[in-house]
Amino acid sequence: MSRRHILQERVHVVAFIVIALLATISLLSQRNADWYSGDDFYSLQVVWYIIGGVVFVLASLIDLRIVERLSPVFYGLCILGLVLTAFFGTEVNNSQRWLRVFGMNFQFSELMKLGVVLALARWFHMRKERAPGAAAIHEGAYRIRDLLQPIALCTLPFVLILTQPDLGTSLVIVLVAVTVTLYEGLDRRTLIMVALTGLVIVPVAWETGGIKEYQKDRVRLWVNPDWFKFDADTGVVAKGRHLQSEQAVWAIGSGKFWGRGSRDGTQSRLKYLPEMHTDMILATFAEEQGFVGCTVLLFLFWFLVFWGLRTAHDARDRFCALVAVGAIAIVGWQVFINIGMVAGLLPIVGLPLPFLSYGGSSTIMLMACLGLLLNVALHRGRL
Amino acid sequence: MSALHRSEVAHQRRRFAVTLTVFTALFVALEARFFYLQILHGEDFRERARISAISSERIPPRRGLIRDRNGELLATNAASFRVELTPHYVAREEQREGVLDALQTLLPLSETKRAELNNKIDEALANRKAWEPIRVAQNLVSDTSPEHGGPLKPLQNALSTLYCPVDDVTYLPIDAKATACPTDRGDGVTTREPLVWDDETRKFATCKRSGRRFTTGLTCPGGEKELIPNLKNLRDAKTGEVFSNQVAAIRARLHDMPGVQIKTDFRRYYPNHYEAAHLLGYMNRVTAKERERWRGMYALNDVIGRTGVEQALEHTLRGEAGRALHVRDAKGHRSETQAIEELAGGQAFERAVAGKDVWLTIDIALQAEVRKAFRYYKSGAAIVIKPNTGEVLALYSKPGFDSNIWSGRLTKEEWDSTTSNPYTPLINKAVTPYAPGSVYKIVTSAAALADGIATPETTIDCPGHYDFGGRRFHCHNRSGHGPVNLTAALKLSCDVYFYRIGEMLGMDRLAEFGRRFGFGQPTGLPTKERTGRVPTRQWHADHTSLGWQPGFTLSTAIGQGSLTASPAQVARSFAALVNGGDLVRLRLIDRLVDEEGRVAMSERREVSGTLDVAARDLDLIRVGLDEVVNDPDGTGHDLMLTEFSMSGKTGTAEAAQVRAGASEALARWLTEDHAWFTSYAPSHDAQVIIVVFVEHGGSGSKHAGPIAKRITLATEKLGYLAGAVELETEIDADDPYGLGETR
Repeated sequence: MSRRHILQERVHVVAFIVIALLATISLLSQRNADWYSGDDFYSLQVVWYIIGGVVFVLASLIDLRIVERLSPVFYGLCILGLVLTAFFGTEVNNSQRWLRVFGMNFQFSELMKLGVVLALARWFHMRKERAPGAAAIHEGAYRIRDLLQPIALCTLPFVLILTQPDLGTSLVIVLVAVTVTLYEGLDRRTLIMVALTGLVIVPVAWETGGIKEYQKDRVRLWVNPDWFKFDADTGVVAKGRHLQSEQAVWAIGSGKFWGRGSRDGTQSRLKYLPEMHTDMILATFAEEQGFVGCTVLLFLFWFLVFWGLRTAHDARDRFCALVAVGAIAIVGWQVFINIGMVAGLLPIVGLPLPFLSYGGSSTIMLMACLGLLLNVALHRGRL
Repeated sequence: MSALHRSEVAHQRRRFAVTLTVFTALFVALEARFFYLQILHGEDFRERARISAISSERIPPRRGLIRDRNGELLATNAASFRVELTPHYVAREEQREGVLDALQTLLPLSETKRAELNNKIDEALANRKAWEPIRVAQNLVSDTSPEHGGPLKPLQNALSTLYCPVDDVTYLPIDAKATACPTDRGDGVTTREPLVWDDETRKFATCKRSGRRFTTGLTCPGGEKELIPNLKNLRDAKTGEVFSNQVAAIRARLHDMPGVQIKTDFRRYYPNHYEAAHLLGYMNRVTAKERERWRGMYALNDVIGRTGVEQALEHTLRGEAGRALHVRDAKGHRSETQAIEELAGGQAFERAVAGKDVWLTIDIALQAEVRKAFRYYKSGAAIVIKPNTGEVLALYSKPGFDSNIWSGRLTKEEWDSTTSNPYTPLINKAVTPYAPGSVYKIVTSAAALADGIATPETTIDCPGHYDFGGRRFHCHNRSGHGPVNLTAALKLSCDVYFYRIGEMLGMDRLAEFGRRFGFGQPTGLPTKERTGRVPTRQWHADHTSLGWQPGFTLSTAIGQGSLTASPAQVARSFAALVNGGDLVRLRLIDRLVDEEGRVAMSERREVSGTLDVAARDLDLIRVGLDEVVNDPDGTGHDLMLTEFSMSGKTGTAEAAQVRAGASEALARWLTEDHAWFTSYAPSHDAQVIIVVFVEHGGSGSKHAGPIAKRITLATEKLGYLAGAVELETEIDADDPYGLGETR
């Protein structure tokens, strides 16, 4: 075994430790949040991690050829799940995201992220296999007409999830799909055209109602923190939402350098932080652990991204590489959007923070992604 | 390796580098944000979070009580209840409807008021005031009356009424066959009135005289809104009005009315109502300007003393508000888990300091006697003081007002009837200057004796008039008094004598003595007063249309002309006369007592000047005043007492006025003279000075005198004439006040 090879092995060991560390931080954070709110999310999250662990091991051991072959099936099942959710799902907070399967509430939008990644990876892989002039394509020369199928592959789940409505998850799907596609390489002119189309679509969607009023409010608040709106019919003050995000920002700032210490977060204790166990858990974490804790956390996430991209770089084939890129893009984008939102950099969208946020579907999906990454890493090298 | 493969590897490497760079950049942005929030602004955000979690509750201070010299309560604090609603809890439509429905039934609330409340809630929510409670109703009925604080009696047969929120009318149930009004009003009073049905359907009816409304149904006129049943089971023994216990009803339902709370505050209550109203004054809501001026002292709905002692001693009575800090969680509940000291910085609670109790020099029993003595007169004032110390024992002005009504629930009608009353109930006439008339002659006398212009032997012949400067000045006795000396002049109130010595003294010398006797100057009372005028040559030159005329001196010498003096000033001048020449400051405040019962301040006798007139001269004047009452020829001889002696001076000041738009009776009243009588008793060792002023009362001896006599007897009975002989006077049943033939 070459020296380089040993180093590679070491990276994977470190990555495994990082994953274990993040899971530990997650459980500790859930415990503290429980202590503030008087709930018991911790025990359930332990269960999710046990199931997630099993999924992780399975995903890391399964033959990736089987994964490749089954990815259309997985994608199809996810779409079916979403369609069923739209009809039979349970509605929570005006959003229909959960479907009861075998007595468990399942969030198919979470699995869909992985489904899209697998489907795209397979499509690009097949395309390469089939293409006569493989060289032309791998140099990054996809044009828009070459991409109609992958666009359709991600538009379908995008629309299904957007109508739940779940803006956060649908955005992540688009971002992940774009990341995977760009990683594959686009024709430069096409790239410019896509960018321009994006610039046109946003104002059109804003004007035609493609973006819902409450979503617009969040953007307005993000742009102008003093903006507020009063809805006489429902008596809801849009400012209220803003106040919540403002409280989260205060909580993060309150942590200062060393943090207030575990279970000493004033904002958390007085319940000024909504969604304390899920989307907003970073605020509690930041208040308790301060700048030091946040920096360590960010570094751990960054290391995962680095490891994921490195794994993709060393992957034995295109399918493996794109699965690795897609998996790590899911983690990376969710980390960025969630922290950016809680810290007041981005408008409020509902999205869990990988590892830390409570959630069954999201934890299992995360562990599946990381398991696949490890799988790719272990079967690295070119065929 | 093929070239193709190499380029593949390079391509791979570039993709890896670009993607990692993009994600690294994003993460660096997040790290920068953490640095900004936690390092650069950590302290700010910690402080903001602290402030947002802390709410400060003001603890209002207890206002000091006002007592008379014997400890009798004159002003106290009665509990009053109000209902408040915190908009946050009713932001959602379903909750709000439920709470408003409940309040409408319990209070009950009219449709208009309900709509107003609803608007206020909307407004508060729109303006980020969701946590500021809105006042729904105040002065609620509990088991005590919100009007006078007295207890309400439970009714044996509760009166069931039906309230219609649409037209804000309370209906009583009635049988459709009824033809006459029910004789029993339900409050123990029986009446006989005809009943008038609104129309043939026989749904609503009215009692012709009292205007009570009746209904046979259970819906409002129009038939849409249901009537709200309201069982009234409490009766005010004083007014006969019936009530239901609103506070108890709401308390019982508080648990299903989120955001509703009952607050208790203390309303000023004057147990004696009209008694001493001018003296005590009244209170009402503090204005925005005042809150601005006394920053931090007053809360939005605080009251402030407007007149009288309440105003003069506002800062003593008010006390200082305390403060309690609470940590509130996101739902607005008080948090017990968070150490308050940690967030509040150690000062979680500041005790409120109660206002100091004020003990007045007033004797409310004597005050009541003064009021009774005035019962036959429409308008006037009286003051009783101790000549040696300046203590005010009674200070009365007629007509008066009820301090309770003016402190809080002042209706438009009450305001109109009070302000349009021609006898000016709001003016404290005891400290308002009027022409003093002959009571001023003691000043002229003292001046003449002090300057040597008159001696006890100086005699002036009174033919009934005095010719001066081509004008004839009449004596009140047109046929003349013949030759009179000083004591006789005082006894007979001979104007000619005083014209003569006034002329010899001159205007400015007379004014000088007027000032020495305290005229034209404040008496030292803490309450607002008007100081009147002591005219001089200069003043006349500046203010009279014809300029200075020598004849003005003669008018001034007999207390007429441009001279004005308040009853309080007259009392003080007589005090100086009988106490050896000290011009004492009038005192209303005896002492201030703090919460623990310690005397915080007690006022002492204070002298603001001396008359600088020889004692024998003052004695001579007192001989004259003694003869006024006790000599058969004296102008006040009718008032002579048998068991102890009283001295005095009558005054009848010309004060005819013309007022535009006055009724005939009022115009006649306005033409009358002002009646004055100043007395002191006992004559040889005066213990009380009594000044009675009857506005347009006519003759001083006939109208003011008997009042003074009755007050004198009251002071004796209350023990103020120490050393005076007990008097046993038979009271004539037909003429209990000794008014003689004048009534």
